[in-house]
Amino acid sequence: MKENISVGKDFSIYPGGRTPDDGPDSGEEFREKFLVPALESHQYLSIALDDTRGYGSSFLEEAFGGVIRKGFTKQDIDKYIKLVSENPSLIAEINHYIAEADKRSKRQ
Amino acid sequence: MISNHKGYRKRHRYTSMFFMNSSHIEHTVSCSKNHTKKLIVFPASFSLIKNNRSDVIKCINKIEELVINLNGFHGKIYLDFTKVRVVYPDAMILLYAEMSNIHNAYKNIRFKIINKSNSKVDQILQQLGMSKWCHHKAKVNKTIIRKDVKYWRSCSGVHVIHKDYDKIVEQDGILGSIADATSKQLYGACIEATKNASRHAYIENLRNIKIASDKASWWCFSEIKDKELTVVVCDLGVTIPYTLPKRREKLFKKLISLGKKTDADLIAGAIENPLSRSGEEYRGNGLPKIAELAKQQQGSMIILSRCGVVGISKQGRMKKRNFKLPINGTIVSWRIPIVSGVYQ
Repeated sequence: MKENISVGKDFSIYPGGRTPDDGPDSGEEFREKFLVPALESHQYLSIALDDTRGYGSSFLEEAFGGVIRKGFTKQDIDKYIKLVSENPSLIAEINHYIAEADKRSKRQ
Repeated sequence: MISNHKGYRKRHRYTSMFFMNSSHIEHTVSCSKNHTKKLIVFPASFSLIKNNRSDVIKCINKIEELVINLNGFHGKIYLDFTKVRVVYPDAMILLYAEMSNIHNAYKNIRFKIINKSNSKVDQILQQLGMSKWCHHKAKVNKTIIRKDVKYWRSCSGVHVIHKDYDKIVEQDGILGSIADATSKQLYGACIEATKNASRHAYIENLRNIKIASDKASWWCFSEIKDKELTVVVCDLGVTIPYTLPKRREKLFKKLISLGKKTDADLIAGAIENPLSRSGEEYRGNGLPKIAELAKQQQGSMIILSRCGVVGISKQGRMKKRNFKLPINGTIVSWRIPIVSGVYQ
């Protein structure tokens, strides 16, 4: 089963900082609300990224790189999470955070 | 700068004395045993990069000194803007942040603004809400608000900018007048600048004045002028050059070994070598994100921190400059073109 979500409609038009300490709508909150449950239940998740004001790097890193630190693999993300955006550099940035977190997890 | 404010002295009929303090002059008026009135006179050009930078900083530092000295007394500080002719957002936001902090941390300090009615400065102070803090009834004719003042916007906060972003760019349709990709880059840059301010800027208080970072840790302005939107974020924290040797010793030593010792060198080094003070490898993308908008040639950017200034032009070229007198904080400013709409 596949679920489609839009960050702007289902989470917030104003994605915040890294953790709740930075204020509302943080990357950690997004990860725990959508990414981790989908990966835990092996559910396919399509995420529309474009209907927000934008993203800080800390939000994206904590949301997507943080998934690796929670014990999931890059292959899990590639299999179950689909990123949708008209901006290829946004998807490249997220993939970069995932790849970097994955590399670090393998070093440890 | 005003050395003898005769009209003011005559009007108030107080006994006056004057004393010089480097290049700017503070005028002290004693009116009774427990009441003193202090006058700070601002220079003609209100900028931290162009002329009069040191005068502006001395005036702001003097306010801080007076607040410390007056705290607990029935003091009033007079801010004289009658000489100011040119106002730049970088200097105005630093004054705004200092005044806001004093307003939050020292309830007994009172300010009084001296200015020409309906002047540009009066309109800006009114537009930003500073007149209200100072109980200054600006005689601003709302029907003739200057075009270059009308679009000044401000907000402040403790956490990241979040919904308040719309306060500075959404009003009057500004958001629709800048390219969508640029607007999203700007939002991300503002998130990182405000996050850096709230997380990292107040790790120590190096100043004598109280910093009420629980009330506001950053301040933000926007201005539209000459078909460009300028957004400025300011904090009153420890500055990037101060933090670098403490938190990123390796990078600091590397920069020093390469002869990069100035504040501007250290700021540029922090932009080009991301890794935050937390030491966790996955953190520290904030400063590069702040600079990305300019690096991708969607606009220009300037960072002022302590004595250093680092600018990245629309063409992506980096320039560095150092001044003698430091600012107590960090100011990040982006300037992006307006591509459509009524502001063109």
